[in-house]
Amino acid sequence: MKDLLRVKSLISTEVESLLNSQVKKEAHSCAQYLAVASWCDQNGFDNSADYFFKQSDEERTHQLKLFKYILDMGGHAISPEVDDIRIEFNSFREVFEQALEMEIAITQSFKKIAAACHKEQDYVTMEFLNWFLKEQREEEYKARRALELFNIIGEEATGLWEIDKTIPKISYTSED
Amino acid sequence: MIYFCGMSCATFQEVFSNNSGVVYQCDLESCFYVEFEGKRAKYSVRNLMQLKRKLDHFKIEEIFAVDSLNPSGVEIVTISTTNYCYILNPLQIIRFRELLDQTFFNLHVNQVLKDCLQYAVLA
Ligand SMILES: [Fe+2]
Ligand SMILES: [Fe+2]
Repeated sequence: MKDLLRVKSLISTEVESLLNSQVKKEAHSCAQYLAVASWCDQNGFDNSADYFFKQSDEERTHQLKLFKYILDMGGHAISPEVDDIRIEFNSFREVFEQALEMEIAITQSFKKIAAACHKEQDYVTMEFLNWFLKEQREEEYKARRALELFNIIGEEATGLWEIDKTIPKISYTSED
Repeated sequence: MIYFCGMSCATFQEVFSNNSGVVYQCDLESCFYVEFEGKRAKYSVRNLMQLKRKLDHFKIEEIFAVDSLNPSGVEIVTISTTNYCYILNPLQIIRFRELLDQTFFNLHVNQVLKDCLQYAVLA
């Protein structure tokens, strides 16, 4: 008997559904960063607003990258519904705390998919995931650095203004 | 088992059967023939997956809920790009799910066996 499932698709149903839930998570990150950009803009943190607009765009790119991979492998890519977007924050600092938390959750989620790929010896998807695992290094690094500015610069006097001015300078350069 | 499908003579292989129905795979046409409670339909892999997704999506406990949005308790399932349509009560949904769950389980077993025997992928 032919293996028709395999003829149809390179990836298993399990990996496909994990990738689809990741598509949803990236879409959520995209929308969440947009909400954060809105909050920053309204509260006068223009540089941070720009930073989060760019982050939002990046998340959209991640979403599409996963989406197209599922399709290319013969799977069923699902355009996700996005809900649960937080639009209010108690402080400028909380915005960055949430950003880091979100990125950690994304890293954990990719680790889970990678573990599933190892388990079923799906080295093709594993190789595809490597790009994201590396990307998460940068994402977490930037989120952590941003949060550290609150301790280094301090929030008193013109501190918040200084922090906002420093946000665009955060970059991750290590390529190894 | 030898059956006749369309003009050609093809080998059908039973993937799974129980008292509510049977699923055959046709290698020649790369498709499945699903017989459920006397109704027969031909599905591609994609369509069969779609059917399974739709059946799995129903929440049986919601159908029975006092404030159910669907007091008739009957669900309609259509599969895009085909003309098939099922009108199913909760018991039929459960039975149909069972049929497809077992079908996909057996398809996965076939996949694992093929991987081991033919490609020697999994140690
Ligand atoms: Fe991302
Ligand atoms: Fe990210």
